[in-house]
Amino acid sequence: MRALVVVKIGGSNLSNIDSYVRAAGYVRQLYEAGLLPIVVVSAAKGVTDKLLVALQGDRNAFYEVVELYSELARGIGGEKLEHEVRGLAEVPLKAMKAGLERPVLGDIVLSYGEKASKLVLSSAIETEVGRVVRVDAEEVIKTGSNHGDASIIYEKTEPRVEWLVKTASENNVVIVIEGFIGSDEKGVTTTLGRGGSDLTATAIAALGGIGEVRLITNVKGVYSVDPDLGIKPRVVKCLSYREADEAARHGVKRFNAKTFEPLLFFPGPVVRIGDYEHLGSSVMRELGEGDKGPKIVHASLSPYPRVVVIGEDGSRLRTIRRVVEVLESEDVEIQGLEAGVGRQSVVVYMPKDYIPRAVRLLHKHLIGEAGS
Amino acid sequence: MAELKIVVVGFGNVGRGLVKTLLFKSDRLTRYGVNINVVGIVDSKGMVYKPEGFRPVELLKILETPRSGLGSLEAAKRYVDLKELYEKTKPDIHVELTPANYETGEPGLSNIRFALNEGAHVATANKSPLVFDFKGLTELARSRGLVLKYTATVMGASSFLSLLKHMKLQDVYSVRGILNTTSNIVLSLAHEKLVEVERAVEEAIVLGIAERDPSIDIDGYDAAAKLTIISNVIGKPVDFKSIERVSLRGLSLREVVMAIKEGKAWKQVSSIDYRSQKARVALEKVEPGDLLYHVRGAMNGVVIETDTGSYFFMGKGGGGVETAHTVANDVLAIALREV
Ligand SMILES: NC(=O)c1ccc[n+]([C@@H]2O[C@H](COP(=O)([O-])OP(=O)(O)OC[C@H]3O[C@@H](n4cnc5c(N)ncnc54)[C@H](OP(=O)(O)O)[C@@H]3O)[C@@H](O)[C@H]2O)c1
Repeated sequence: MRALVVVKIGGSNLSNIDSYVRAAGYVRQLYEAGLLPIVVVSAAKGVTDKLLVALQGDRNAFYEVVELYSELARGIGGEKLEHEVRGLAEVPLKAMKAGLERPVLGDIVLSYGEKASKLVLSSAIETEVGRVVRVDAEEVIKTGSNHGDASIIYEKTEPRVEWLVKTASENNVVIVIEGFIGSDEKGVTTTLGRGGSDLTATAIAALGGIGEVRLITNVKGVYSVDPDLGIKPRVVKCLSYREADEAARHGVKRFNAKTFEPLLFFPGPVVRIGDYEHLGSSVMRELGEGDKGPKIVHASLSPYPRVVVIGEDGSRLRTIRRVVEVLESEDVEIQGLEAGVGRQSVVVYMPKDYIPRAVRLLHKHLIGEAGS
Repeated sequence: MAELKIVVVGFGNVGRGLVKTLLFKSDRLTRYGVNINVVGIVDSKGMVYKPEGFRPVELLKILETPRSGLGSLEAAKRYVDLKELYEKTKPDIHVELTPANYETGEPGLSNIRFALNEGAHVATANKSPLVFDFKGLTELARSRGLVLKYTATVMGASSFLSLLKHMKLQDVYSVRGILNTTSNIVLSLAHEKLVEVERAVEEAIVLGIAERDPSIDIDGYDAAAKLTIISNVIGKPVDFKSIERVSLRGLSLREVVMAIKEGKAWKQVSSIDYRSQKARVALEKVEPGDLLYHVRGAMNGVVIETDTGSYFFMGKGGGGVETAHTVANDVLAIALREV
């Protein structure tokens, strides 16, 4: 029997016809390699932003999105698919006209991005693999009614994920499902908030007992430091769930607060992050001793300027001492230090002006630049 | 293993839910020694059939079609012809999931008669055929040695009617309940958000909770139909047309606000009182001491008063997959009778 793998194709990888075909080609590669992917699909690049504009009252922004998907659909699946994609727009259009209250309306409008993207991608996968079944996330991911940032209700979602897994494996079909979307008890569409597609992927894997999740994006993995700070980052090879969760809490780029939540409750799957060619980072339940230690240096200005060193560490005191030594050796003013029990980070508070220097120093001495 | 062939007539929320339930719960059916083969599926514009039964993957592909979309499948017929469907597939069980129609009972009424005359057992969630001819249909089934199951027609997501059916020796004095989910959701919305009923209805339509034509629900037809079915199950039939109905549309926001101030809530309450011989679907201002006050949103609840005391049943009123489970339980019950 094929091993199941959950693959999330991120919006940065979905823009034009070629990109959808490329994504479908990747799914075919996996299938040919003997795996059975459950594909979690995001909205195409830029679509969510446009839909947010539409929600501000600019109806044209919505029509632009419909046109974008219609063109993709025509190119990939012909007129029938285009018709379906246009048909999907009816509900959000009606909801906008009816003037529903903002959070509920927001979810109906935003979810169009993923729903249409799913139709297009599944049609492309149909051409590449042949065996594909579309499933509505609203029927699988059950959430509370906190529109815009709904939480998954795991006990209600679990049996539905079980169905999904069973359907895939018993019929040997690739399942395509929208990320980011769920539905509440009344069946009304909800969305899972920022990073919701990643959360859909990890939740399906965690609840479905699937060993591997691939979060496909446009970078090679998780970086040890924000490249925008002018420091050459390393790709972090492995992280534990707790480290990833810690990174998310501190707002590290590409980590979203809720992505790792299901793994803390239902541990098991390895989450691999990267692009089509290279899945540079793996997030797993436990790390070997050799994989522990500082991994990410992250700066944040709000609510207080601070630099955070993230990493599970067998010897926390040594790391704390090292952080202080490195900073003191270059006269960085330390205003406070935080290293709570059970947390996977050391947080150093300092005046704002010291931050760039502190990040550079800590990254250099605790992690080391790429290629060094 | 008993092999049974079913046709699913009506492929909307419940029809789709049923096919999914049969697919995903096939293990459970196997445990009961039953294998249910879907041999035909029908919507308003077309039908697909396969005498040996659709394979799971084929059913999953059929499930992908949009509403009224069966005809777009390659092997589909772009017309509905039950005679052809029956000749080709020879089903054991007919599942009737077409929309209710309180003017004629059609298409459900003719479909069920046809199925029984062709020798198929029937499971239906469609109420209107029973409202029009409960006696005729049940007698037709009995005379032909067939089973007609309709558990999902009242409190669709539960087995309430089966429980009620079981209470054969009690003398029922009255039935009082909240039987229509859409109205209950609309009224809950009006109370929670302090909006006019019309506005709450509009919202429910957009959210897919209410039908595009919500009249059947908010003008009380659906609840009256359920009362009729309940009365038949109890064995003291009440004629559908004799049931007084009041529409939710008459309720003003002012009245809602007043009720809240008094600590009460408006509910669409359906009742039959056998002592006063009155059956009605009314708008009642109920207080917290009344069990029905606590039946909110998607829930339904019924109080049955009998010579052995009062019984209160509460459960979710509907929902595609939930109702489909009740229908599937009916199908299984028919199958088990066959085993
Ligand atoms: N939804 C619930 O929670 C619930 C609960 C209890 C009972 N029920 C009852 O169950 C029945 C089905 O409910 P639903 O929610 O599934 O309704 P629905 O979504 O409106 O689906 C009705 C289905 O019947 C098809 N249909 C209409 N006319 C037909 C015809 N002449 N021949 C064949 N098919 C026809 C429709 O075709 P198209 O797809 O082409 O329109 C559609 O597929 C109704 O009678 C309802 O009152 C529903």
